[in-house]
Amino acid sequence: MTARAFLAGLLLLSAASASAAPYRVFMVIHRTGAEADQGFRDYLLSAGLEVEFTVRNIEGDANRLPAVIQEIRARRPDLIYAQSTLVTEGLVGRVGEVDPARHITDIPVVFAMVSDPIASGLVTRLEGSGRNLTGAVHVASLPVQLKAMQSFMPLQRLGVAYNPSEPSQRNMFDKLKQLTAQAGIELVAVHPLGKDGKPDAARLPAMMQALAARRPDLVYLPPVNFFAPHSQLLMDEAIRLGLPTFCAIEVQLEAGGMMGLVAPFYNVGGLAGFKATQVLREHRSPAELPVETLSRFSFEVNMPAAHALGLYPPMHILRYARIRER
Amino acid sequence: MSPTPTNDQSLSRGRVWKVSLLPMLLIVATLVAASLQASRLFEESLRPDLRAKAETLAQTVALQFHRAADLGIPVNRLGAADAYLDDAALGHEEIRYIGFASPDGRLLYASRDLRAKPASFFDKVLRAHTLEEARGLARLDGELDLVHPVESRGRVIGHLHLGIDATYVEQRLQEIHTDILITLFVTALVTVEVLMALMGLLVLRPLRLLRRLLELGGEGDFTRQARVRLHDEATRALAAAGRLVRGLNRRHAALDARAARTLGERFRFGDPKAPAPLEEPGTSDLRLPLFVFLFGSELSRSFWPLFVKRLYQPGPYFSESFMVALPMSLWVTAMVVCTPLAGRLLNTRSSRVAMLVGMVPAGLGLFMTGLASSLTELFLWRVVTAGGYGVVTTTALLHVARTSKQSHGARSMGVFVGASTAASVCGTAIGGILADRIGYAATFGVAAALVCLAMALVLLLAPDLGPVRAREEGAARPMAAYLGILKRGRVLLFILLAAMPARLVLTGFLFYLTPLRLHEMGFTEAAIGRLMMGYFIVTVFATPVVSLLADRHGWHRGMMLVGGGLSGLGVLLFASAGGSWPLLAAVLLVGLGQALAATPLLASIPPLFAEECAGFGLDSLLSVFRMIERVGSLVGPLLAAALLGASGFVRSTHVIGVGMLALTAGLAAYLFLRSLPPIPPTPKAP
Repeated sequence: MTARAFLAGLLLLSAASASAAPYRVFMVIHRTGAEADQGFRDYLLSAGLEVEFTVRNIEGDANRLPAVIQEIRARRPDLIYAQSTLVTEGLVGRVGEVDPARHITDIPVVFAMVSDPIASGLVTRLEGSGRNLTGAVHVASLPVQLKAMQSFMPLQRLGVAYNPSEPSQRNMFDKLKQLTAQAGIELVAVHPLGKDGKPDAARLPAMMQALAARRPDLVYLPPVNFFAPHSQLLMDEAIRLGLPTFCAIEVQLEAGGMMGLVAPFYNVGGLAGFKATQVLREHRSPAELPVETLSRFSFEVNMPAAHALGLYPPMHILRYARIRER
Repeated sequence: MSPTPTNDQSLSRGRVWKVSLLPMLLIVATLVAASLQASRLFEESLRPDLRAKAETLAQTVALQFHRAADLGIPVNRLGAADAYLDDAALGHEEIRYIGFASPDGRLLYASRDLRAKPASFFDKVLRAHTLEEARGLARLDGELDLVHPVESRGRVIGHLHLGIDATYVEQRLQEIHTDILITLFVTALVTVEVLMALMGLLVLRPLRLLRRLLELGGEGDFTRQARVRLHDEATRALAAAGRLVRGLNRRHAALDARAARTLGERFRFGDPKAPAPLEEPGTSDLRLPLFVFLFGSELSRSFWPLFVKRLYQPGPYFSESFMVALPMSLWVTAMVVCTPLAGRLLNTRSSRVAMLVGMVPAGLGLFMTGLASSLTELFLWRVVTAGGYGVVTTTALLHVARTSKQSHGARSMGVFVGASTAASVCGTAIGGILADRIGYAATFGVAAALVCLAMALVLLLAPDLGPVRAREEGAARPMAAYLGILKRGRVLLFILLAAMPARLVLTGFLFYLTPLRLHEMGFTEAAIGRLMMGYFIVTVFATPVVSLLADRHGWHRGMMLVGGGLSGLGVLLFASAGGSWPLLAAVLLVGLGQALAATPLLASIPPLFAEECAGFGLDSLLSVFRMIERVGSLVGPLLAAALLGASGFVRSTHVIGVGMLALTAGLAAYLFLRSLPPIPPTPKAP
């Protein structure tokens, strides 16, 4: 009886895998090198899906998106993977500004590496977007991050370097201002905008110097897309100026940031992969799938930075933090 | 009728004591030996365990220092290390402090208790460690300092110092010893009770009956027969004699009328089918079952208010203190309501039946109380238990009152008071220990099991002797008699001044306020049981002495006054006492006061109110007395709850203590003003 059932099951399984044509997934990458993409692919494959991937890299340039959208329309993939806020916004548009002529509306889109989808105007609620869109958030919420900073040291003055030309960053800043005011922390903000209102990489060292002049206890580095290619420069400057940094994303830590509450991007990609599997195999509507973040972030401390600054994690953080020793 | 039955009984009781002494000593000696062995084993394993535990803790704490050092963090640059040590010391009650010192002996980080000590303390610690016999564990005053080196990459980066409370072991051992002592004491008490009862039932009673049968036979009276239920040597002898008498009766019945008449001139014969009973109900018939029953009922004594408090849900109408007090008052009410049933059963059936009728609901009620999940359920089962309890205790009391001689009033009552206080001692102490170890519900289960045992004892041991009737006629119209008595102002005033205050203190202060207060002060159930047991122990020892002295010297009134005064002072002392010993002293004082006040109280009624006794009967007088006394028990917890809610513990205890003193002063004035001749001393027993 059981042997028969087992055989029948085996037959069904092989029939299913044999009959399924490979899924076609179109990946739009903001910039190469993010482990999230790998995590996304690996999840789909490990879930037993046969997938044909097409990858397009816009190298941080939003102007390249219309061409990519045209290609997507021509190919009609089963699902689109969007890496970063910029890419997602370009593909599907902000809520209330969607133009079916310019944006994709009829193909499911799963994003990864969007730090704040509500603030960015991509969705209005996290429990289900109501759009043909879902995804994985890679940043811990601001109150949680602020609490993590305070557990490292008592804060009187907090520095923040951000990019006001990114809408999600303006939202982040407003929220941070409110939170620090509530906690009685003075907030010192700097940005790399030039007179034209555009960020300028050449202004980054001066920006850091301006921050150092205000002598903050700690500098918070939010997930700014513009900073990403300049992470190394920013972190080197911070160490040179004796500024301890608190990072929201892993790349910044890898570049030498002192500490941060981060999720491994590989796992964020995996979470996006899980959502893609639900859409592809279980035919769930992305509109109903919640936009989620990982349930666990790790407090990471970069020992070389700590040594360079002579600032060491307190005992309770040593107990649970992940320590980077290189 | 035997010429001196009570005398006989008291004489043989003395002999029972002598005979019981050896087995009792043997049992106690065995227990002492076992207890000593147990406590030595405990002591032997506790000390090394303590050091091993501290070592383990030190290793765990060292891990983070170790890790920090491995990461290259300088040992003097660690953040929040004091708080880390505070955390580590938390939850280990024997660890007084944890400190971390650099290799050159500077104290770098310390937990709160160590930070609070003067700097010279740590120098003392270091000096103590230089002594050769220290070997990592230095002895200081009051604590042991364990040192644990912390290494990183093959070099010592510092030392952890753990302060172990040296008195911790002594305190634990003392607690264990106290528990062992209490168990010993309770075992001895139970042994005495059981031995006495068994000796009485298996040896003394059959022999006494045999003697009486033979004496009657010698006088030519063959009308009476003993009922024999058990079969052993003594009862078999009695049964053989009984068979002889029955044979004589049968032969007499078979004789023709003339011969029977001739014989009847010299001998008296009974009906062989329905012989008259040989035995009359005795004072101590019910002692053992009563003891076991009360033992079970008293198990919850020390934790009752805490048990009720646990089920309390905040509601809009009643405060917590009121809801906790309410079941105690319901208890008294239900008890009083069911009391007349006992009298009726005793009049129409027998003590045996009355006891059983009471025990069934009591046992069921106790069992279900343990399972109650809401206050409503709890109230219901408490009322059921109380009803049964009322029937059982009243039966026992009436049985004693109706079978005792008046001149031995106080001492006969002592049989009842003695059994109930002995049971209270055992119940309160063992109940506390049980609740601490197995939980409330299981303790109620044990209580119900004890009540079942008491039922079995009644079935097996209590002689079935038919109705026990009151000697006076007054009992026939109880209500009329009660009202008549209540109209007499002097009786009412006496009861209000003498009997009520004692009850108020007992239920309001001891049963209600004391457990709540002690729990609030951090005492465990076992410790509360131990302290409250003090009260009952004093009563156990004081009651027989007080009874004897009161009967012999007629000191009834003086003792009542002294007792009231001592109770009041004890309550006042309790209010301001802090540690275990002053609290115990206060409880003992209250106990002594109550023993002095309560025991002569019942016995002093007949002489004080001879007129009422003659008019309404002693039974009615005693019933009214009990009833009013119970109003005191009923009001006690509610009054205490009201005071507690209004003014907190200390103030309410003060009010109760001062009130007790004032009422005692009132009683003194009352007794002084009553120009009755003093009670004549009872002549000594021959």
